[in-house]
Amino acid sequence: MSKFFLILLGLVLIIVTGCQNAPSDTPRISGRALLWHGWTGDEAAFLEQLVHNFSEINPQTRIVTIAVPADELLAQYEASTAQGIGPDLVIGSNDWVRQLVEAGHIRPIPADEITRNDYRPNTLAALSYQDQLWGYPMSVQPVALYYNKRLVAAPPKTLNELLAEVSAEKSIAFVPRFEDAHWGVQIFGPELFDDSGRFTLASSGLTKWLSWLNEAQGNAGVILNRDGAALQRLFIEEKIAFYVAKPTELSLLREALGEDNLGVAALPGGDDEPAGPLLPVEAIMLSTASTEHQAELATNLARYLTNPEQTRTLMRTLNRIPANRQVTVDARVHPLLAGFAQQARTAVTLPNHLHRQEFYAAGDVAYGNVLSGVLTPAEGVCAFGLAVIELQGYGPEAYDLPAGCSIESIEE
Amino acid sequence: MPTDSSLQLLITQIDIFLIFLARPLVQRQIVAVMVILIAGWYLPEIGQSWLRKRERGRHTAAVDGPAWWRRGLAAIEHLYSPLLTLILVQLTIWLFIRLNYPVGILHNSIYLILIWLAYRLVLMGMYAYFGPAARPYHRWILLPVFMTVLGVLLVLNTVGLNLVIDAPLFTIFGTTVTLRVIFFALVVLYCFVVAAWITEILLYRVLNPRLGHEPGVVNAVTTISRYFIFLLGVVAVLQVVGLDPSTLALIGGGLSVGIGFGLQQIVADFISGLILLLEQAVRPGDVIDLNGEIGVVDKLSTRATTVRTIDNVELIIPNQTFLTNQITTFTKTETKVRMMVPLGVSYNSNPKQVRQIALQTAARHGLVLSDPEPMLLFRGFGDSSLNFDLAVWIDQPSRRPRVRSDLYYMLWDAFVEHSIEIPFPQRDLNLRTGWEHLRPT
Repeated sequence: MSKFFLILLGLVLIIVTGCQNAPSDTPRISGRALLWHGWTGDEAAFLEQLVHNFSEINPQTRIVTIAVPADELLAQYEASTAQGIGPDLVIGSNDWVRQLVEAGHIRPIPADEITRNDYRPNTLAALSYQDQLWGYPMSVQPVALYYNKRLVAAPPKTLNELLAEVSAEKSIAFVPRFEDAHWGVQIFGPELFDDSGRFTLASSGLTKWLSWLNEAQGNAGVILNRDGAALQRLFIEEKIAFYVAKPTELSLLREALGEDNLGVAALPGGDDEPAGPLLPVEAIMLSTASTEHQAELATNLARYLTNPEQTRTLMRTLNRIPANRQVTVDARVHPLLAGFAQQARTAVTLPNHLHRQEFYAAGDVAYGNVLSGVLTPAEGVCAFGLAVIELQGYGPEAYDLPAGCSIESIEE
Repeated sequence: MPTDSSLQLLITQIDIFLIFLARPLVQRQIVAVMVILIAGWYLPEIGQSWLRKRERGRHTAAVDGPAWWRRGLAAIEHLYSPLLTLILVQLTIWLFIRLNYPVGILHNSIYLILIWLAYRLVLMGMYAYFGPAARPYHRWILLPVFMTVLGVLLVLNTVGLNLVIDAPLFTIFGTTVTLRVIFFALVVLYCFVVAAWITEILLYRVLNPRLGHEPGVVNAVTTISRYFIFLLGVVAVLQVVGLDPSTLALIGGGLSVGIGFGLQQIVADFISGLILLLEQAVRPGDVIDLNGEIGVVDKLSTRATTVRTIDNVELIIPNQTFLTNQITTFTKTETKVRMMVPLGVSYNSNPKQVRQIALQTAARHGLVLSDPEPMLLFRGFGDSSLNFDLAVWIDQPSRRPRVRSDLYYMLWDAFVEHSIEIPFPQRDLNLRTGWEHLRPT
């Protein structure tokens, strides 16, 4: 029977421990919270330091941070939250919003005036779904144009300038996948989705952009290759002058080429329209598994980590491009970051009702088919449109395909 | 000593558990799992106890069939708890889903219960087939395997824990040791210990029918194989820990210095033990005389040898004693030993009659061998007796005192029966003075 009493005692202890909800006289910011992130190395250490600073300001709090491998973070977060043992906050991508909202794993954030004033509107749009906001924007990571100042004096402002400037010795290289090479769509026409989220493929600039890419790849100075690491190596070895990539590569490239030799600028646009790369947003999302008290603490921590002061610190130390609109990136002090910040202003967001990964995969197929000559740009775009309609289950009112685009036209 | 970082990680882990336990979502599931486990564990016991009380006094028909079938029926009770637990968990999940509660922990517990069920199924099969002989295999192999699998699954499914197990605990010779390393090292070591145990049993089963008459050889082979496998295990553990050969050489150098000073005696005993095992100078079952104490070698281990004396006292003797001292063994090459029983008779006795009676008496003793036959050796003419030595052969050296005693009893009876006097020394006292005081008044 002693076993029975031991088990009973354990049970009582758990219940007693578990039921110690905050009493009414507890200070407003107190308690424990768990934060998961996919940061590594110095970045993780710096985040720890920021969290530690928060705990010093709020001594009755205890924040535990856990680094989970970035490629496992979403799956682990979903699995753990389903069991009720996930973190209170997770630093993740805006690409996760639909999936997590529909699984009921993140809680909405009050989109009050303070919040709207604090963050850049396109970052809020990237985190909005079903008319609610689902995360605190932390930083943005749009692709921009890296260039080697030893090879070129100034970056091209337009695609025409680009084509005129590049040559075998001064090439531009980028990965021709949907996510990385979406930036030209806006130059040739409207975006893929209108403000109401309707799939306006017919009027979008995608077909023209794919046509431009298809022609440009015949230029010796334009390198389109899906092996991003190889392109990065070429740029580091100074075999190419321009390289389209995210700010996550900034530290490495700066170290390889030197601060003085590296430049970052907005991607070349059209005569009137700027380039519009996709806007990946790194955001802090709050878990539905938390108690109200834990959620309150998590909210305070999220606001703290995204406030102007911490955003500035993250920018200076970790090259994070601010999502907080009160932080300006001074081009004289941070010339490289300013290039990304400038690009972020014209970056575009996709609506969150999309099944993101499948949508990107369909886009990749279209890019691949067109650039390999399997399909014409019009056929590639049509196939992409049909795939998206099937993927999303759009009704006729939700999309607008190019004229003559149908399943039959593709089969022919 | 754990480092500060590992202590910090432990505190962090406690914090994480407190965070989780504060959540009603978690509380509900944990309480449900615990109630289910208690119910699953105790309800079958209560039910069986109730049934036994109910059946007491009633005549119940005996189960027919072979032994393994009867044992199998009895072993089915191993399955009651996991089966009941599984059913209860499924019912609770169904209820929770209807109440719109999360069921992740409950759902995960199903896998653990299925593993428990599989474990119990294997147990049932083992007990059905082998009966109580399966108990050591249950305790030393199945149970550790089951607990290890459960532990690994729990760790893998808990994000915080898999960070803790990789936290550096301490550094040894440049190698960082973590809980994961310690765990794998223990598992590897345990596997080798079990392998050594099983090998020992198998070798014994193979060798004993062939060399059963040489228990020392069987013991030597099994012991050496056990230590050899254990040594392999230690090497494997060092590999798991990640110590490189140069580090091992360093450890070896350090150890040799340590051995030279502190562990000299232990190592000497260990080496002596190995030599004894190989040389077979002394083997279990041997009868030896150690400083006048006769005993039977009971167990030969690597550090010391256990000798059981005829008083049933166990002597633990360091092995180097056998190599550095002179030991008398009665059973090195054969077990037959000659034993002398001195005796004396009066000068009035006929030596030939004495010989006949003594030899007949010796022949009647069950432990005295007929080949070589007993002999009565005439040792000489004593002060008051004719002195003989009765030489008899026995094949149980440890029983020499008992045989000697028996023979004396039997000789006494025989001499009395044949009126053979056993003399004893007599002295005439001539009192020069004071004798008058001894006169009766």
